[in-house]
Amino acid sequence: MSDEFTDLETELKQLRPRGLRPEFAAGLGREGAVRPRRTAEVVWLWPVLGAVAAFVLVAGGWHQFSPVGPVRPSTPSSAFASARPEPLARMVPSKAVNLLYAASDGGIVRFADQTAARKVRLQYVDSITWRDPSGRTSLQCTVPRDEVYFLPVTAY
Amino acid sequence: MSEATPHDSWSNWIRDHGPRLLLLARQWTRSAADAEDVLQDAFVRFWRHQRELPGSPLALLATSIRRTAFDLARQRTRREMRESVAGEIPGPEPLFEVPLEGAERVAEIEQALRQLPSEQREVVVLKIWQECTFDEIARTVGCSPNTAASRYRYALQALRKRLNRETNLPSKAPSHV
Repeated sequence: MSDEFTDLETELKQLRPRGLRPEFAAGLGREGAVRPRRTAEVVWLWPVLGAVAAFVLVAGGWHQFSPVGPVRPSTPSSAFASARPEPLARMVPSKAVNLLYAASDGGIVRFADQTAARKVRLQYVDSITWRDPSGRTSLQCTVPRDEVYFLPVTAY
Repeated sequence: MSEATPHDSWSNWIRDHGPRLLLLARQWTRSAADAEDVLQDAFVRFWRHQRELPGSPLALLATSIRRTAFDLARQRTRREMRESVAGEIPGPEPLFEVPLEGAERVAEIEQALRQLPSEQREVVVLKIWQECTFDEIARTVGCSPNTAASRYRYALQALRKRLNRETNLPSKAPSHV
């Protein structure tokens, strides 16, 4: 710019923009410190997380002997919540669906102590969606899950 | 001696550049609160997706702030958008720190700046307080570098005219009786 406005430019540059509110600056500081570079991390993290979650769910279902109905309430699995990794701490669960797509009767089985039970196998697809409240990012994880029950059989 | 953590460097960066970027956000928002929202979203967008891009980080952030502010404005009604984007800087919150001496002059300059047309005001803020080049300004606001330079010149002329009038100093152009 020409010398015509040098004085005015100098005067303007001496003005200091108003500072940030301390709590706002602190919030921004936390945001940057997390360094959420998710793209590279998620590539390997989610398959591992899915496999771990599926294993926990299947193992939990296998050892659950209490008789239940074929339809279970649709609540987010605690296994997912506990296995949630740190970089996704700001993602909040927004939707959870447990879809029962098959149920089969495995017939009567006998345990080592000769007690009889009916084997029932339920197959689900669990879908959990997380959403970042501060942006437009969402993430959905879909995991197949089998539950096997042994219902006590009483012969009269 | 302890090594600076990423949190420290980020906090220092915010301390150094945050006020200027907040002033920039105020150009395109309806209130200081909206400007903070825009600045936060733009920071997050920049930090996650743009911080390793080539070019000046401040210029990239300026573009991100402008885009975020316009996204926010689009979420409002068309009438509100015109008011927030094309009008004076609304809101009573001061734009600059008020010094112990010369507070009146700062208020005059701020008032004159608020009354500039938005397309001139944004160029002045980018040039003076963001220290952007005219090429960077052009990329940020979506015009040619020559247009950015022209707007800057018109803005300074208007500022000088208003400030001279408010301080009762004689204008360079003689008035005819």
